[in-house]
Amino acid sequence: MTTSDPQAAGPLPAHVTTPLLALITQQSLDEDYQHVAEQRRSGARPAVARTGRSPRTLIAVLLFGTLLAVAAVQTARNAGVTSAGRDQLISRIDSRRAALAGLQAQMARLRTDTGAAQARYDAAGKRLDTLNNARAADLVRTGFDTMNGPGVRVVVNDAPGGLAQGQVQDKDLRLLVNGLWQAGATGISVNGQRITALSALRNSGEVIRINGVSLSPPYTVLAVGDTRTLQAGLAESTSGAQFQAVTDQFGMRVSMENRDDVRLPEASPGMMALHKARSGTSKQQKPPVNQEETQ
Amino acid sequence: MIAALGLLVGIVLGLIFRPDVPTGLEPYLPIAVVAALDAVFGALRAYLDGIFDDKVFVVSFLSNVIIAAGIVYLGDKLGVGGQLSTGVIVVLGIRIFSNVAAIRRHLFHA
Repeated sequence: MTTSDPQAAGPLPAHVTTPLLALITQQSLDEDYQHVAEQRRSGARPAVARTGRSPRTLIAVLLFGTLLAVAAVQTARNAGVTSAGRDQLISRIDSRRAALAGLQAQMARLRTDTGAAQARYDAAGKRLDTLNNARAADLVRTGFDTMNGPGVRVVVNDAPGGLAQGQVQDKDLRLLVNGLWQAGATGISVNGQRITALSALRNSGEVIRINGVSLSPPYTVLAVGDTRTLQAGLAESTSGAQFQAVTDQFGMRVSMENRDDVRLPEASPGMMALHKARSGTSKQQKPPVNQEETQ
Repeated sequence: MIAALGLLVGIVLGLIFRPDVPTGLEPYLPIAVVAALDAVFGALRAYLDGIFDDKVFVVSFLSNVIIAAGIVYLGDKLGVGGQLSTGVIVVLGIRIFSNVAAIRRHLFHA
């Protein structure tokens, strides 16, 4: 259609100029009803009075009712599903949140426990250090670890002449060792055998044995201690004096000298095994099992 | 009267049988119901106007339902299903309102 068309000059038709909403409102009734009514009036169609009693109407209305019911049922069903899902989600969130809170509480509790355990561990570590130090000191003192330090070196030999009386006996060496202990020696060895808390000097026939090892003269006794007081203390001690008297009497050769560095070997750990012991408390003072070993 | 009876029977049938709507058709059921509602109110108004025709009613009913559902289906395929269904609801709603107003005028002469 062009502007030269004579129809364009006329007023526009109503369905073009009417606003959309007004048009919808005006044509709310299907135009077909009007159209059919016009045709019937003009005789183009048989003027049969159409009422709502025809089976077609009935079927359509039936369909409408079914549609309505189905839609309502479906919506209700879906609403059930939707809200159930929502409720489920909320309950799930709640339970997860509760679980989270529980876990956090547990975490805090465990953290506290860890702190306490750490403190206990630190205390135990300190105690272990203390005990280890004490153990090391005890090992050195009891002769199961090497000992270095200033001390004295005493060499005792049999008297010349080969007389039985002039032979150094276990009791003589015992006197010397006890004298050294009394003089304040912290560790003693005889011919490279460390004297431990469990060691005993014993005669086995002609031979002196210690730590299960036979010794032969000359006997070199090494003692770690204060070099300023050790020799004097030995001379003053009762055992030392007895030793002096015995060696003088039988002519045993004794030489004694201070040493800046005396090295004492450790006793073998196998000796540490306890052979004789009784269970009891510290108050139950049992007499020593072997008098010989308590020197 | 028969129409009202048919409506009642239809509702009862729907409630009794509760047919499962296929998942693919589910979104178009409400819009189809609104379109059918428009056709029914239009028919009621025409009946009161004295120009009711059963053939016109059946045709308008079916075409309304199919077209409304089809428009929304097309909109869904194009990604504007929500907007198109809103448009269809607005137009149908206006028609229903004006038809109901006409029916009201007939019934209460007001």
